[in-house]
Amino acid sequence: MTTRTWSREEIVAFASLHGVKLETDAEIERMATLGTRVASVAGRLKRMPSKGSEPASIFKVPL
Amino acid sequence: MDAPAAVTAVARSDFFDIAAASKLLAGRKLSPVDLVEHYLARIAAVDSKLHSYIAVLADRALMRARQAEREIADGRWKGPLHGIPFGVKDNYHVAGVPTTGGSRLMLDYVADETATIIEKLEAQGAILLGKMNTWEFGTGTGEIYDELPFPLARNAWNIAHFTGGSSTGVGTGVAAGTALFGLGSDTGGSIRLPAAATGVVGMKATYGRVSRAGCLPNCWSLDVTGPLTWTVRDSAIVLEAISGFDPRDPQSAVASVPNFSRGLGEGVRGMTIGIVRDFGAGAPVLSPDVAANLHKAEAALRDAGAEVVEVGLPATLEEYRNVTSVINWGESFSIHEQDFLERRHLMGRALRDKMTSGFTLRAADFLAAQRLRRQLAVSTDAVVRTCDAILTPCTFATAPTFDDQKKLVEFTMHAATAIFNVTGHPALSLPTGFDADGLPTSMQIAGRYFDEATIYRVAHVVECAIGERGRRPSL
Repeated sequence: MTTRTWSREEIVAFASLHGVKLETDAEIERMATLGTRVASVAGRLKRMPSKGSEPASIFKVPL
Repeated sequence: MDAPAAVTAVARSDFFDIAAASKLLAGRKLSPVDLVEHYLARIAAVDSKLHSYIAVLADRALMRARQAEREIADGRWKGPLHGIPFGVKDNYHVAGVPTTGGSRLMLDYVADETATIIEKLEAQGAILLGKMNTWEFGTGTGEIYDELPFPLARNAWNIAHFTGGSSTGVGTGVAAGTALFGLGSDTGGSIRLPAAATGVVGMKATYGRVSRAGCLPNCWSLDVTGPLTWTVRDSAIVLEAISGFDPRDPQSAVASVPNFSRGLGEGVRGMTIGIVRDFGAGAPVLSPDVAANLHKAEAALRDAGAEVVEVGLPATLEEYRNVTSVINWGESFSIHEQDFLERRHLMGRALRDKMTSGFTLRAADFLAAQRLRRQLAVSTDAVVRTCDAILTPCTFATAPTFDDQKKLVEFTMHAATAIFNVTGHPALSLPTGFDADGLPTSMQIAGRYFDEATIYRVAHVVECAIGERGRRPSL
């Protein structure tokens, strides 16, 4: 998997699109750093080779 | 109640365990009122430096103690928890009592329900002393910062040292004798890490074994509630009292609840016990004192007739941890999304960072973690089922000082606890002795699904062989 790095401009645009106004430089920097870390950790997760491999479900019936 | 022996017992020692106190209570040699007053006095004496409690419910506890005293005097003894004082992490609801979750987001919140397992304990006569310290909504990496509404809990063995998190007040409170036992909750290690740091027994039972209803969620698919106690026997007593199916909890398991204490003392002769020594690339090095005491525990099990064999896990520690991180970011963000959008300025740094992580997480990555989780649970279970129980270190070092941020994060994030949150197997943190500085060392014992009873048998053998339960912190 490739992982992405968030630039300051990208994270500001992403946050704004989803209703978050980043107020300070520190807030922008922190979100870009954490977003990049999230992408890195998620990118290291082994992908299941079979399309039939289901998630560990939290849904079962009867409820 | 005529209780001269009890008064003597209380005066002689700051400390009890459940089994011993229960015998005195049942035999009417100890008054529940005297016992609760003893604990309230202990809290008053030491908690200004320990901060194990966020709120002490003294009047409520004394009222319940008087009720227990009447019941026992009338011959209506309810069992081993009748009259036993306990505390709960402040993410459990008690109707009419504030729940803060350790957060400025909830400082004005008063609960209108009581957690199922508190109801169960109170129905069996246990007496709630108060709400104990916690990281904000059970969230933290170990890093210390000062944006939280309550002072940091401190380790009873040395108040310059970390308590482990996130049930920060519970472990240290049980160690220091400000509660006879406590309830915590565990998403990636939050019962077992404080237990390891403070030298108490922490049980994360099989996922679904114990109800989470009425406990603030951190991450639905990983959260487990459970006890922190001074001894293995006490843990067995409390787990039996709180286990069982609960229709209020959507993930509650339909599984019979055995008498967990019954097998204690039956030993481990003939058992096969696996030990994990290799946690893969990037795993931390075990500190010498933790390693030496783990080796002693292993030898004790061999001496008791078990065969101890090395086993390997199907993934590295980092892989298990990455799965829990991604799932936790995603689920926790879903829980707190509205607060993140509207008042994240009230969040402490750890929670705000976790929310920010969840905010940027892709749905496909969250589901990749859940798909990998299923595969890891199946493949890990195949290893667990080759043995009666599995030994691992719990934390790789003893509790660091508060001024060492790097070690605080390593203690928390590089523990072997998350493995069994991913897989849902039961796992217990057990004290194994002390390091050269007098801080507790620990190990972890995991077992097959719903076989907490075997974990307790194994733990009891180690506990008896080590023989350190008589040593308590001096505050």
